[in-house]
Amino acid sequence: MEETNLLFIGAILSIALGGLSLRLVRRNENLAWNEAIAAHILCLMFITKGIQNAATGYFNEEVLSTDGLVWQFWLEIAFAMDYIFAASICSIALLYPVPFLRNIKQVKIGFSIIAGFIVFRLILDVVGLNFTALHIPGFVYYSSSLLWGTVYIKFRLAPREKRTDATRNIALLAGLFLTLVLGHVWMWWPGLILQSEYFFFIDLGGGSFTSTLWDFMWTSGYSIGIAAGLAIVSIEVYQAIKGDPNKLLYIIAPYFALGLIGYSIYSTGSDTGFVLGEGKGEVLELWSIFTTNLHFTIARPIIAMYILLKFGLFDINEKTKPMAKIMSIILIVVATSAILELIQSVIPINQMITAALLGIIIAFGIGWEEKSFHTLVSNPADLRKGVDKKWFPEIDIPRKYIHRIDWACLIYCLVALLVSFIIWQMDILVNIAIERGA
Amino acid sequence: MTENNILKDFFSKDEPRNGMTIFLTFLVAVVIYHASVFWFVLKDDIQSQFDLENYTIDFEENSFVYEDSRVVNDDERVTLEFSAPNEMFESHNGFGILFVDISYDETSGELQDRCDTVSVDLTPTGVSAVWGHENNVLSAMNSDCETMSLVLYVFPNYNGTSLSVAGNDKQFWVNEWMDSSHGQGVFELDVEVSVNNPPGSVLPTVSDSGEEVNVSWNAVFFDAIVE
Repeated sequence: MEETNLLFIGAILSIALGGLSLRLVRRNENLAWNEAIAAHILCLMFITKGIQNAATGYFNEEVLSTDGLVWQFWLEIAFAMDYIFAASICSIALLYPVPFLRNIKQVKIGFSIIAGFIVFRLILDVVGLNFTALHIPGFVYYSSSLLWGTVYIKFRLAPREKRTDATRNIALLAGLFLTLVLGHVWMWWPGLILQSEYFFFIDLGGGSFTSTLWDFMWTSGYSIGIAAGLAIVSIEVYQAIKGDPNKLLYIIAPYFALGLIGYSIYSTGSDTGFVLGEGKGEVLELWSIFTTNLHFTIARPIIAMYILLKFGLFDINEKTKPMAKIMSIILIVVATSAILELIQSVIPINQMITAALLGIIIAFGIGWEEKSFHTLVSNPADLRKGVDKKWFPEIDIPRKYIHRIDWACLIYCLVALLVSFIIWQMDILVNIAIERGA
Repeated sequence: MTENNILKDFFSKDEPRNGMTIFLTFLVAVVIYHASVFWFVLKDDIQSQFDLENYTIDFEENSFVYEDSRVVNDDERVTLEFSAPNEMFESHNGFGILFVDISYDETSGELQDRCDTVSVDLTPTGVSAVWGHENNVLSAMNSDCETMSLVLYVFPNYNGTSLSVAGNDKQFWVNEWMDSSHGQGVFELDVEVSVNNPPGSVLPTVSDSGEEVNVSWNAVFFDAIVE
């Protein structure tokens, strides 16, 4: 139940932060073309991810209630939103921090392929080919690992004489994006290396709803993500020893450390990494909530906020500062209260004590926010100073075209709602479950 | 000058390529490792992870019998009550079926006096049971002094026969058949007697005014044995 509640909290957080961020990003006229597109997509990604979290929460409730077939509607919305999440990740990785698409022709072709892929996936769902290998499950992990991974390697391992703060920031940003996408997967790395059931038995479809090939493609995405993560953490340790530490090490090292603890916990049970639905052990459920689910719902919005503030994607001035501060406070209050609620569900602390604790933590959080917010916005990380201009091609894309991405996303969401409704009314997922013997 | 193809910048001769080559090789190696474990090392385990385990569920029955009797006057309606003892609920998995046998004799002692008409009705109460079960017999009536038998299925899906099930684990199926809430409470049996006089009798001394009705309540409890 806590898992579902956490999904709803994550939904509120993602939608609120995504919406407010989008307002600020739309007002920022100083961004380069690739930054503007990436910032728009990042905000939209969080709004749609919020919708996905809420849909998954409702799906969990419907499945547990075993009453009616409306779960099909929620499941399809969740996956339709996941399609846009995957496409967003791929789009951002192609443009930011370093654009892989270097002229307007490449941008048009690249975005057409991505948009076409989303529509293709949605069409597959409508015609009853849901959860097939044609969806290319795991695509998001492949694209992010390869694109951001290569950018990270290129700039983090640049020759010492070419290494500047900007190259470190590019590597940090690529690493942060990889953490955002792959953080939960990194907590299962011993499972991949040691051939554990909790990793290799991961089956998001549950039984025969998804084919073995589908499960393979999905976990294959995890494996490349883990490989990228292991490479990054090794390089960060190496560079730190060599006297060139980066704060990325402190961000990703806990994920890998939690992976070691998680190995001993998962190995005691028969559940897989994604501990889903009923019948899971209490310890496994708690571990899953405090690691995987917390990453999905709390850590991701925090990382996204940090990226938006630290890398100058918001134009913070006297007019926009109050809204940016509201966002930081929402993040602190919602995240703190959610974590305390979770702790209270495990350790039965008196509610008056947790209320007082909440007040104290929020007071400290807001006090800290004053200081850290000022530090973040007054000292944005530069990505270009001292870096060869060849990495940042100039393309003239009018801002009105970039703003149209928001409308395209809105239209997609409405179409996804319609498709989900049709799938529910036609019992497409129920029929698939029967056909596949799920 | 920006190249149109970023790969040329990534792998140009002017740039160090060792790190990138090692990184990409490592990614490919891990992906191949994953594929080989998935399709060769753990293939059978992965494909059989959702094979369903089959179980047989047998039921060991224990009955609690309670006898009751009541004299019911002509055209009178009497309600007899029964509730199963708590010890039975505590010592067994569940209350499966309730059998009620109703018997009586013609006791007037008069020659050619016919059996009286007795009707019985097990009325639904707040007790949790499958009151709508298609095989329930909740009412009966006769006038030939034959024993009447009523049946009420109490535990959902229980009929005393063994079952074969698939999936989940042993404990799951034991829990499925363990619920003491079914059958808790008071059952009520309405009994009505209508006296039948001997044929052609006009004398009041030849007829009787009521009948003694004997009721046997047989509560069948069960223990599920899952193998």
